[in-house]
Amino acid sequence: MVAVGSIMHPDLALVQRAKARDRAAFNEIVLRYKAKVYNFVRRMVSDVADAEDLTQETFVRAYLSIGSFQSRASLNTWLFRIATNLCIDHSRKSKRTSENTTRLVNSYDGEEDTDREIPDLSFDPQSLLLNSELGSILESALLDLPTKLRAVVLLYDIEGLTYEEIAEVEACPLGTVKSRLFNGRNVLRQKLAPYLRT
Amino acid sequence: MKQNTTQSLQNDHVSESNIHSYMDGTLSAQQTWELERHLAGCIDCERVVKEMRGALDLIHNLERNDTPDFFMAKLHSKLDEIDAARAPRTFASQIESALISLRSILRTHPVQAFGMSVAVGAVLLFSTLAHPTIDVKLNPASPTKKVPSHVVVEQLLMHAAENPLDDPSADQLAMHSTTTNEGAAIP
Repeated sequence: MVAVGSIMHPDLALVQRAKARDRAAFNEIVLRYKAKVYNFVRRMVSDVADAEDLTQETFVRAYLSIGSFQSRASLNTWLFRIATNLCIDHSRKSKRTSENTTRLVNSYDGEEDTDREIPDLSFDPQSLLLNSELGSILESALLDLPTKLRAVVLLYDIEGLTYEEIAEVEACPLGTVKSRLFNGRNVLRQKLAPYLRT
Repeated sequence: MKQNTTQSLQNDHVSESNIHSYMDGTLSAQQTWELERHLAGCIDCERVVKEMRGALDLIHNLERNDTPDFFMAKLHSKLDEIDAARAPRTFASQIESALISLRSILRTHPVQAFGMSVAVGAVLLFSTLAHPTIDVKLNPASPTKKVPSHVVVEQLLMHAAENPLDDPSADQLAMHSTTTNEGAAIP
């Protein structure tokens, strides 16, 4: 991943310069990853201002600890790990109350357990569809997912990380990643089903 | 995986994990053929696959945004602060910051500062009584001269009274004293 033969991954060259307190190199890292991190964080937290703050904090922490970055890891994975930890801390601090769903299970603890939710049929699917708001319904459904399931769905289905990379980000076994992904996708499918059938 | 697929097909419906693998394109050609053959004859599984495909299409096409305006400026401002805190400090700047800290302690903890002053005064008084004279050498060439210790203490106190820490409250006190004296002089 990092180095193939004599060809060095461009991220690694930047990391080495950033470790030597080269601000221009760190700036290049930020420019390269800020949109990815921001989009991930924005869907992990409900508030846009919080998303910006947490993205800033991700890069501040990266700047402070770039010296301890292990070159065998991927910079992408490392940044997502910092961002995920910050988002989990943030969601612990501000427990969000679900408005549009009824939770059957209040917390997701087990690796094999499913946090199932049923769609709130008080919505008017027809008018929402007419307004082309499926995207916002999905955003809302994503925010209603338990944090750990949401992180895996976002990392796999949107950011394109592999199971192995997500296991590294989440610091959990590969089986747990797959389980969380399947459970998360199923919850989303169930919530979106009324609108997808139309 | 093949075993799982076979088992799930034997149980009439495709397992959820196989549906996800089918979506991700990670099933073998044989498994894919078996699964699709099942889907052709099972309305329930076909519906689940359609719903899942629709949900994933939506997820893959979610809008992506760049960071808000001034993101880089705000970030670099924070990084500048970190760099400033990391920068090596000169001896003079360390002394200066120590004096600033001392001054802030005196302001924020006046009672403790008063107690400390009383304690220092007591030590000086005890030293004065214990040592009536102190050997003072005014410059390296001159001989040592015996000076009464109370004279040395007085000079030290006078020096301290000149506000060596540049405390603005002491300046205000001095100014207030001058103003009061001037006011008294006006008939």
